[in-house]
Amino acid sequence: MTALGTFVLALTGILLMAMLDTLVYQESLFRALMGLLPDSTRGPLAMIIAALLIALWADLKQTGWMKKAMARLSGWKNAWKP
Amino acid sequence: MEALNASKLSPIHIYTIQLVFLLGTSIIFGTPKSVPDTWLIDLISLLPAALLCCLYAGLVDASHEQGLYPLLEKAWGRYAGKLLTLCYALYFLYIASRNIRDMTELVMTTLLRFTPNGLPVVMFALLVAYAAAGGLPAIGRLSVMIAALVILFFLTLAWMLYFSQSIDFERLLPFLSQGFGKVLQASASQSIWVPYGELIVFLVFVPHLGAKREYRRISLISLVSACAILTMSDILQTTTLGMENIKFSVFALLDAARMIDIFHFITRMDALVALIIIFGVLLKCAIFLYAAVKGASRVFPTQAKHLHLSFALLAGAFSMMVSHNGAEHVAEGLKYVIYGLHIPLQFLLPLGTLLLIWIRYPKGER
Repeated sequence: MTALGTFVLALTGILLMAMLDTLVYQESLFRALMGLLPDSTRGPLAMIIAALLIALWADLKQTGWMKKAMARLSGWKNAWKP
Repeated sequence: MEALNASKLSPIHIYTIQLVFLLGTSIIFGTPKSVPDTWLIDLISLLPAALLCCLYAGLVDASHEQGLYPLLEKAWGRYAGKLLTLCYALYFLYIASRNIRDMTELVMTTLLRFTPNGLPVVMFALLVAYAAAGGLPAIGRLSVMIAALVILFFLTLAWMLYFSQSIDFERLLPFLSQGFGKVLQASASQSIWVPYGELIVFLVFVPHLGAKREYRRISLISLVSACAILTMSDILQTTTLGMENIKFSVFALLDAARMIDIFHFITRMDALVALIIIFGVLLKCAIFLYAAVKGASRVFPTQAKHLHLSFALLAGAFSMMVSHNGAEHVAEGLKYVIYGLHIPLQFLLPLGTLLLIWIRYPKGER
């Protein structure tokens, strides 16, 4: 649920900032969103993506998916051994 | 139980955390300059701030050492409570991002003029994540050092301004030129909510704060101390810059520090002001981040330690997206954020929660 939590917070955060922009500039939510996203260049977007990837990694670690995958890989490797 | 006792903060840690939290950015930016007698606004705000603290103390009583999030679920029901918990987590993250923006605006104008904007934000976000990941006891230990440094730097600035003969107490006059009503209005509409209302974040940490009565007493002492220091800061800014100049100054204490000139040898003490805000914002953001992570990990069941880094990066990203420029950032913070976020989440919702608890649970059940 770490990645889901991060995703929801990121999405609602962007919506909140757009809503505040609608109040400041007296424009529609869509226009505020369009103004917000392209304006913030690659930096913030890269940080949000990095945050999501880190959360996803934490989820994978928590579920033990990595361990299972590694075990399966080593199983395949052992199958080829004489 | 033993682990919980081990994570309880000592009274000195609670005091220093709250003191640095209240001083945070306010010591640099000063009180909003809606009337000339800004120092009086700070002084008057103490009374409503104490009343707000009483409301929060009532919530601490009602929460039975469980904290804000369980209390919301208890008062509003499971689903609405979780939704409100998410709202508070988002609110804390947003305030953290605004604080980071305050800090970067100042640092970029004083110390790192040619550094790309993203670099200090990423470095600071990593630092905040590390501080928050240490937990509340680590933040408490950090706060003692930060409180000592902030007060030392502030006193050094005051002392240097005095010796460079920049202070003139006649600049405080005319006194109450726009009447007492304007001062009261400015106090009620702005100063209570930032920084005093932000103390609501400490309701999240109720399980770590010790006995209720002791917490109430320490909160009031830190409130009075912060009010005294902020009033002194405002007086220092006004007596150095004058009422006319201070109106157009965004970083009032920074502009005051630029007036330091001792024998043409000790000049330009901008770095001290930058350090004050860096330390203050570090602690404030760590607390907000910790609270946001606790809320999110309650709504989306996961281990809180996995969320620190992600949320710190989110706060950093939001700090760059929160406004297009410095002027918009200040205007948004003084008007729209106060009425749209601070008043509902710092006052209306806590009051509603307390009333619901009183109505839904009679005294015995409570």
